[in-house]
Amino acid sequence: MEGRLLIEARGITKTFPGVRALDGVDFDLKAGETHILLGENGAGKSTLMKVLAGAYQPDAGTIALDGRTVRMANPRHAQKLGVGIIYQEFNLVPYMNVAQNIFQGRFPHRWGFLDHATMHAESRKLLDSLNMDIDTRAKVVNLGVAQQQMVEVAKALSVQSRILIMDEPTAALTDREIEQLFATIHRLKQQGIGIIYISHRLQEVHQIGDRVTVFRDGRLIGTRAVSQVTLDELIGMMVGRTITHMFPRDYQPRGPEALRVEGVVSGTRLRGASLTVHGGEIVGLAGLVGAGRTELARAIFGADPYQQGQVWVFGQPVKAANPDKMVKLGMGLLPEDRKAHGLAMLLSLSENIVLASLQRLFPRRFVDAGTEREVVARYISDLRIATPSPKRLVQFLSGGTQQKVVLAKWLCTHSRIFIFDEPTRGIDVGAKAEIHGFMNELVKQGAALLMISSDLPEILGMSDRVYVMRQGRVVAEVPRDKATQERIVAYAMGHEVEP
Amino acid sequence: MSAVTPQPANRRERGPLVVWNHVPPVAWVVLLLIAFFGVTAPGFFTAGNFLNIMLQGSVLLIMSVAATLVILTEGIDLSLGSVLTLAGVTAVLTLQAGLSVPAAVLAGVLTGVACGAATGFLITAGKLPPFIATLGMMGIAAGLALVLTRQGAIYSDVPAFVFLGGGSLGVIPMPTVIAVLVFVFGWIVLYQTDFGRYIISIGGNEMGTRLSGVNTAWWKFLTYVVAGALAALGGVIMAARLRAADPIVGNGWEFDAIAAAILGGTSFEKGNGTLGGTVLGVLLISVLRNGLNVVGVGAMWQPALIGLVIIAAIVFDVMLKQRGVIQ
Amino acid sequence: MTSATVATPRGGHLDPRILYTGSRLLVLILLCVILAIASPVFFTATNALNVLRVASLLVILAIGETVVILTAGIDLSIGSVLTFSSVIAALAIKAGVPLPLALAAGLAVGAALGFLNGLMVAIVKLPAFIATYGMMWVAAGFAVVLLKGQVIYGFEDDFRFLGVGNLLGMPMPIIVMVLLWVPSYLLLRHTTFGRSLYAVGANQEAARLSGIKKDRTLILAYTLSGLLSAAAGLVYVARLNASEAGIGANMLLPAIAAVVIGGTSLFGGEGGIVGTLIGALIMTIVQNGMNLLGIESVWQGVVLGSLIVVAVLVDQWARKALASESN
Repeated sequence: MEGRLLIEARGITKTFPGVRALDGVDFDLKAGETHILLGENGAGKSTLMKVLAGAYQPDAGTIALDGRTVRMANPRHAQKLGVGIIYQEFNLVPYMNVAQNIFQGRFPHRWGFLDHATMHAESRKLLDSLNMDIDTRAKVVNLGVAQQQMVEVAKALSVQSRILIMDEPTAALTDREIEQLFATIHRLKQQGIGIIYISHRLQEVHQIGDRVTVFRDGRLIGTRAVSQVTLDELIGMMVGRTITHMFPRDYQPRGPEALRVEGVVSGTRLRGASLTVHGGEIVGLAGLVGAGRTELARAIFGADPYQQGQVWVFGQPVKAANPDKMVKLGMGLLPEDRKAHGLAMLLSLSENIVLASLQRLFPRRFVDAGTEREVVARYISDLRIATPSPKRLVQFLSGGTQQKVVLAKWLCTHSRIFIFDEPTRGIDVGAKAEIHGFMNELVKQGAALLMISSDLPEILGMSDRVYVMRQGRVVAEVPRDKATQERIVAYAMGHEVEP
Repeated sequence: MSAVTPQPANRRERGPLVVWNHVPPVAWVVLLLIAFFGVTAPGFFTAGNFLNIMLQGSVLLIMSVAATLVILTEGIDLSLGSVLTLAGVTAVLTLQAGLSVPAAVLAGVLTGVACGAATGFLITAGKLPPFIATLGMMGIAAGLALVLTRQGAIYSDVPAFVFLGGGSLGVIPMPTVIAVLVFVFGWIVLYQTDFGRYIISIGGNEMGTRLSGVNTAWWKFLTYVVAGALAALGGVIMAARLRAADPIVGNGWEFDAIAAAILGGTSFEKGNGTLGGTVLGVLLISVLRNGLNVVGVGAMWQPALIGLVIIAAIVFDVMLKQRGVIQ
Repeated sequence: MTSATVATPRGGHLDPRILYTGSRLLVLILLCVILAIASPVFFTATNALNVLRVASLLVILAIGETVVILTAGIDLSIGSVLTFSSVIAALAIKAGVPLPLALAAGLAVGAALGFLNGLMVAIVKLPAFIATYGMMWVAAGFAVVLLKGQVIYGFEDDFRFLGVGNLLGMPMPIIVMVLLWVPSYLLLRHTTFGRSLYAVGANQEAARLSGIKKDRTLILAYTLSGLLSAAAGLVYVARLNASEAGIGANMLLPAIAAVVIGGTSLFGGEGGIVGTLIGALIMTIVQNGMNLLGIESVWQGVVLGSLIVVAVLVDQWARKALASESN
């Protein structure tokens, strides 16, 4: 049972426009093992996971299941071949009961109609084998996240999955529920099922893993047996890159306090986050996906409500924040997803740039074309935005140019506090350097800048100091002189750090 | 995705016929209305009047089942009323052409199937938003009805046909018999077939359902076809009752049908709703209409008042759902 | 981490907005040419003025609908609001209220109904098609109540002038249309409100995150729609010299058709009242052409519904083609 190769993937390469997500990756999974995938955001774990689940087709490389080479055309096909995947976003139907969700798309029949009895009996057996006390008649919407996850596991089992891929399964679970999940995983392993497990919690490597594979920048750095590797070594593998890049920063003494956040609690994603940002400094905010950084940014900006905590802008407390109010107070947010939240794709460059400054530029409500042209031209030239015309619709611009437009929009507001969420993600090297230059200029003029980034070199190269978030809290503040990639990742993953 | 409130997993739910574990708000409103009208109008609490309510509600029930199925897929069908009209026209024309009653009924229902297929196609293959596709169909069907009848009512006195609308099976009027059959049909489809599960799935998590390998486009298409067929059936019965096909008879029926579904607990999103609830919604609207009549409110006032009540009720329903007071 | 390749800006800067509007203009010109050939009457001054006059009413109504659709919403109540507010004005006139006040009352009522629509959509967060659909029935119902089943007719010349008078050789409806169209154009294209409107329609969340007051913008849009519906109603009643309950009944579909044919996207953020003007002209000319060529007017409902569907389909296909080219 143990030791047989369930999956053998060789030379997997997957490229997206402008990004090589996987580069010649060799990976295998044995029966009865839990194989953990580790890596920073965007290192390639998710992409490999989706390739193995049939959601992506590799550009190069082969995949063999049980020794037979296969080409999985789509997720359904992969499922039929025995590969089950549980995403963080469940595929469950809220107002349908557990049994029906488990048998989605393959309902058993009796005399042409749905065979409820069989569905309930079979799903009961499955859930019992997982030691799960979930009522098969309960509607999924009434279950907690952990239970819904169990339904997904049962669903995968019911289609005879011999390989189970789990994407950050413990992200939303309590400690108790995590214990139960691990017990379930042990049970599955005993049945010879192989589990690929993506995690951001270093402690889980030794708790549940048999082997661990580290990714970095689309390459597989190494695979080790868990018993033969230390966490420090793993962190080293995750971040071990030499920084050849010089970042344009003119560090200066920091100015007065601009933004203060204390104890912000919101839903389950923010569990009490605090930080401060002063004029003249760039404060980096590091952490893994799901740590709550974007949630914090949005809460500070008033985009999402929060239940507890307080925000001060230039010393004044802010009540009942919303974006409109925060913009008036002099704050701007460059969102993580520029296409969905940063730009109106159907509008022109010019229209987007002035969008957040309408009241400031046109106090009498009349949009003066001359003023708009002047203002926009200034930003186009200052930011070196490449476009044949300011009337060009933003949807036709490149990623880097689009980001510059969002930046221009916020610069145009003359804000003094900025929150940049992943400002250079998905942008070419040249534009990245330019944006870094602009950021430097901004704070030289006294603005306060909070920069969220998953790019460690960028965090280290641009920040005066670095906050690290983990599980909804700010768990560390690291001054520039003490900041290293290993240290930041260690804090981000809850690993102990030498002072 | 997180659940609304985690409930103890071993809370058993009863079968699908019971609407919720608790009595739904709309049931209370119906009881209240009945009490109110019973007190203020002597003629309300008679067997004859209740039979009347059942009769009026029969066609509405058929339409509301159609509306419920569509709304459960997170869609909408504004053309139901026009399909009702057009089907009645087709049925009567078929009779006038000398064909048999079953042929006429078939012709009517097929009209609905065709309309539903057209909107279903526009929505799935054409990717039109449902409200525009069905709005367009509403215009087309209504226009066709006007053309075919030359803008006037057309009549038919064929006894077998008239029986469908005016006869009874024992003490139960035929329309009610058919409505009950439609309800049973709808219940079976929704709770005992794959189709029904897919309807809920498409409304609840279309993407996830598709990823589970289900051909959601086809089932969505089928939903609109069935809705069209049911509305057409309603139209045939209507024409049988009136002994005539009137080119504007169906105007506004979709409003009542949609309202009945919503008030009965069907949500616009997420595939939440039950047929039992729809029956209560139909009851609510039928009692309301009948009660206003019996109490002596002028025919002129009724559409306005009822429209107002329905919209206010929907607003409250949505607001209460948002605040988590009801599910 | 890894880098994206630099994409050079596409050569041949083709502004899609000009493309969309220009293509419509082309269709309009083509249509005129075809009809000029097909019928000698078409290109006469009388006919042209006639067409413009009929189109004007449609344009006034469609401007409001355009504003709402630009926010990615829809207003199904414009016909009923038109009816209801014109009834209020007519009743006021007949009751001896000075004309300016009576007209203002009508406009205010239309705006108020639009405001209610806006509240339902922005605050209660009802789907726009349900909120305005309900308003459609309620307003229509109460118009009937107010009229008590009668027709109000026989107005004084001062009111009638609005509909049948001439100013500088132009029929009044055209003048009113221009007087409403021009400020609306300025509002949409040259004010901060207009910018907010387009932004909310193009990407509601991005607009909100840019500090745009989304709720206020939506409410104002629906209020404007109600206001313009009322204005159209006043002109219409003045022209007909009669106020009755059914006047707005068939105006919804033509208005939506004009907007959609004119190139405004149902998904918001694209289009404008230049396109709506062209769309209304196209539609009126099609109608005019059908009359001149002897096609029964009863077919017009069918043609309208089909036109809407076809226009949206073509539009969606065109947008997808343009968008995929840019990737």
